[in-house]
Amino acid sequence: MNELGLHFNLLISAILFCIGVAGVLTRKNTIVIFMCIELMLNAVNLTLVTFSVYLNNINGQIFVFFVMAVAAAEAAVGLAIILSVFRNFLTVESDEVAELAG
Amino acid sequence: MNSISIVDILIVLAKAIFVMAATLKLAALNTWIERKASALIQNRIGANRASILGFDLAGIFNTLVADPVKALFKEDFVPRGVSQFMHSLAPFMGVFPILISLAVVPFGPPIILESRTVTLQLVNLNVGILYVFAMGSLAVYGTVLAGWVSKNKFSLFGSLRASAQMISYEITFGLSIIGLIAIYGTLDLNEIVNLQSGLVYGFLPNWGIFAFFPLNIIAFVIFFVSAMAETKRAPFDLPESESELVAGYFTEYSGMKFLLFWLGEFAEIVVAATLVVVLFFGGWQLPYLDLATIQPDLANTALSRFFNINFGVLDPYIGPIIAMHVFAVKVLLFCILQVIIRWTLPRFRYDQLINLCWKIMLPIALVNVVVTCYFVATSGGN
Amino acid sequence: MNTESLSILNIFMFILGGLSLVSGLGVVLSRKSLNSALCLVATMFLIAGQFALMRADFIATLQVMLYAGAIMILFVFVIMLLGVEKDAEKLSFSVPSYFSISFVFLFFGILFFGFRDGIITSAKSIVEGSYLDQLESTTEPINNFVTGTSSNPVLVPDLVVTPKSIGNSILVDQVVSFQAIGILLLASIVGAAFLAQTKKAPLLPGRGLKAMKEKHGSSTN
Repeated sequence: MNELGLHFNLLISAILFCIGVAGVLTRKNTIVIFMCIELMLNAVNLTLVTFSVYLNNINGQIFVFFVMAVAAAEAAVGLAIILSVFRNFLTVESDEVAELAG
Repeated sequence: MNSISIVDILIVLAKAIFVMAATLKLAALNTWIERKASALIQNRIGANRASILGFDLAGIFNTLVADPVKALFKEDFVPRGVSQFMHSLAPFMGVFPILISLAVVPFGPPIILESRTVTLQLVNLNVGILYVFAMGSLAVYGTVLAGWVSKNKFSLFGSLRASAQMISYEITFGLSIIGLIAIYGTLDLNEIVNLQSGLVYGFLPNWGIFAFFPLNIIAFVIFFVSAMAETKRAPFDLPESESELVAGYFTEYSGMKFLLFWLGEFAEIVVAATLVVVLFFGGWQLPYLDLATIQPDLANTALSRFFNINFGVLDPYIGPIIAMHVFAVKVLLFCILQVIIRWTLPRFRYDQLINLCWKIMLPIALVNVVVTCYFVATSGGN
Repeated sequence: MNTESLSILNIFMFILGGLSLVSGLGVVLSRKSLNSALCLVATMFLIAGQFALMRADFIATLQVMLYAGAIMILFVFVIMLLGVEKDAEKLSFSVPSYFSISFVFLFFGILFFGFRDGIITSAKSIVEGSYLDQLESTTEPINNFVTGTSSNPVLVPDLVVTPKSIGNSILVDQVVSFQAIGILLLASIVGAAFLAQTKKAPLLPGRGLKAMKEKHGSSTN
């Protein structure tokens, strides 16, 4: 894999990660915030695989395997939490669930 | 292996066109098989009204010519308030993964010419069958989107139930193969077909279904049932039950988009049949003949001497062509089997369907995996 | 850097990378959450394409199967179940968004600092023409670009990752992490099933057992 590919992939990954950060900080819909978190995880996966191929080391791809499993677990639990929040507040906008009970 | 030439690119292009065209054509043929086979099973004649110049070719003109032409000229109806793009996206996402999922299936033995060896497989991924599972899991999107986009509560419920069914049966679809992969030691479909040559137990062809005798038959049954449930064919077609829900999640689709969904369903039949044949029934392997025994030597036959033309140039092609025909016959047999099962068995209720997956087939598949791996490990397997 | 050359795989990499940026922006800037979800599916598919281009087939297939094929379907299910698109006319950006955006640019600057030299050298080589020169200087430029020369072959998988090597790695070298992931997934399944279960209707006045018996008569159940 030549250097141009490495640098380009790193650039793309950094930009995607920052787009994800912008989404998390800016959007109000909780589900979209969660999707931007998944976007950040994907950008990190791209970096890991790029380095794994560039440095001829399989451990990068094993790490990606574990990151994907953790992302799946996190998605399941996070979406269940969003469902619970919706049942109680009837909305998923993050600034309308900003009050604690009592 | 280092540099590729234009001929290589053309060969890959030809194989790609062949794979997609073969899937589409078999899917179209399946629509006709379905209508005629259902007519035979239900003791009626079936569609035979459309004819050209008095020939109606047992309904082929009706199903393969008149129906698509009718569907093309129907109005492209989009419910009010729904974006045109999303309404068109759903059938696309339903059909596209299915058409490209046969890219890793070997259609025949390699054609060995002097200058190059042409493998009859579009791409030789070392994760062969995982690719097909990945495309199968993308096919859920067509169902999910179709129900949401038609602003119809019943379509929405139908699509949610259909996608829940599809993602449940994906699990048993994958689990049933694990034992087989442990036996063959590879995920690559080319290797799996190559390892299914010869005889086992003295008289049975060494196909996947006969290895480790009862275990792979259980795996075959679970795989076949899961494939039929994934494609939402009867007896699992509650999402689309024609007599009850109009058309389930694609009620609001008409014309060409409906035909795309329909074609996608029949293409899934072809994919399921192909996978069953490749994994369990030897792929392109001829039942009791080895390729070496039928290798012809056409340069020296009377034919060549009579016409004074060297037919020996056709030598490398005869074996693969015969093997491709054997493969096609096997795939068609399993397509016909699926059609017969559809028109014979009554429909499952939804809770029976989900029970079947999670409470019956999943434990059987897990036990099958464990027992098969135990036997592979103790018999000094691959 | 002059010994490097541009091949058609690089062009595919540029196209896939650019498209994944566009769909990443689509995730953040879409008004409806379903459009965001579909843009995210497209992004994941494109990233899987980039993995496949680098010959990491296993990870590419897993990306499509797990991320695009299972996790995003969960997202689309939840969006469809909740159906909160009643008034999605204007983009719901929150008020302190200018500070957020500037923080993001600062963050990108910090990241960029790490690989700045390589990017600048590559960009210079493309713009000044040392990558484009080799397209003009050889006798059959398009042929070499597409098919590669003996010194710069197009398809060189240095790292050959087979499922067998990945299996060896996760079951022999890193078995502890693997089992920990299994326990984590079990915990998350149990947690998600518990959190998402439907509870019975709240016991308001008029819905208790006595009220129900008076309403329907005591013989019903």
